[in-house]
Amino acid sequence: MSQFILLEAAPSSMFGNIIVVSGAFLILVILIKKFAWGMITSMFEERAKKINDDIDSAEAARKQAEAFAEKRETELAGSREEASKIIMTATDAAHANKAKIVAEASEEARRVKQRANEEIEQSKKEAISGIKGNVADISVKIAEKLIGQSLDATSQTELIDSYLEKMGD
Amino acid sequence: MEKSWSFNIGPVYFDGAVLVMTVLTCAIVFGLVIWASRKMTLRPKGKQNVLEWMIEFVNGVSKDNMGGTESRRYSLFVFVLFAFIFVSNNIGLMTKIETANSLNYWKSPTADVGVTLTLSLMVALVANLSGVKRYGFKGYLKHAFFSPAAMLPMKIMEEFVNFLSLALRLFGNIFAGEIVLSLVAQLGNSHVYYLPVAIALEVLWIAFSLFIGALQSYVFILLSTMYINEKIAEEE
Repeated sequence: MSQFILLEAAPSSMFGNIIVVSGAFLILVILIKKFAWGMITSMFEERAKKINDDIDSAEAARKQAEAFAEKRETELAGSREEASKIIMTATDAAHANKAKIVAEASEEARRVKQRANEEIEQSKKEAISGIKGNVADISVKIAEKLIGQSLDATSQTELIDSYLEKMGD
Repeated sequence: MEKSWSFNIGPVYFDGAVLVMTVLTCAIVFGLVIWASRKMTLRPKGKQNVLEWMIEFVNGVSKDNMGGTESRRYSLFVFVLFAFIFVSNNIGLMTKIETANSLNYWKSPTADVGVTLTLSLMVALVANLSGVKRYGFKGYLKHAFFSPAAMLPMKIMEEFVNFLSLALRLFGNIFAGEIVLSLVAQLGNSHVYYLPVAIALEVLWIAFSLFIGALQSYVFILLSTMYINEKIAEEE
């Protein structure tokens, strides 16, 4: 019975299957290569390139940021130094101004005092010379009264002046 | 036993079910790949993600076995192999079309030993021709069979064992899966009481077969890349 079935079974289709499958498989490979594979692999490459570029640019950006930070640091230090310099010069200027103002003030005071002294001296001289004239006149008049005669005022004035000089000493 | 409708062109007999299912499988693989690779963007989304994940997975397997530079050359071949076997393993689980005179119209192509032998033969051809291309014919013989010379019988036997085991492992797994599938279907047909049980069992078995099918397609490309690498690898 089993032999009968074996004989009845269809002839082996092994060879046909090999042809069908290898043919179909090769066509599939060719079709995929032609219509899809290039796109897929180029996409992979493009993505790899993009990632590469992104990493590079991120690295560059990081370096730039670091440079900026460093620059800012130095600028900050510079401006701090500058500020302290400005304060120092301001202090110096203030000190110098103070000394100058004091000197000017004392000079002014000295001048005022000198002028006052001079004026006082002047007034004193004037007063003394006025007194001198008056004393001479009064003396001559007294002498006239005493002697009863008119004295030559001018000639006597010299005499009196010399007395007064002596008295003044 | 299952039979398929067949026809012949001259002395060559063709298995109709295998022919139809193979063409259908190729069409599905091609359609899916084309559909998923339209309008690809740098930032993958949706279907493109799936396709890329699959290609990355296959590339990962071949890279592990062949190294980065070699694997790139075989990546299309290995990817198509994987996609074809994966779809083949699963397509037979979809349904079952059998005529009254028990002619089978729907099955996994990989449930046919001729198909798996063909795939295995292609892998063996690619592996050995790659060896010839790399080392020249003499160098290839020396590299593949005479290093050391005492191993020659073992090496020759290994060739056939690799070729047959690669094919029969895949065939056995998928064929057995389909046999159980049709046995459970027969259980459902035997009496209406058994129908719910049969459907539940069918669901479980299809789930398991999906797992087996995916696993076997992975195993197939894993071993294929290993065999190819054996023929082209530099000697230490």
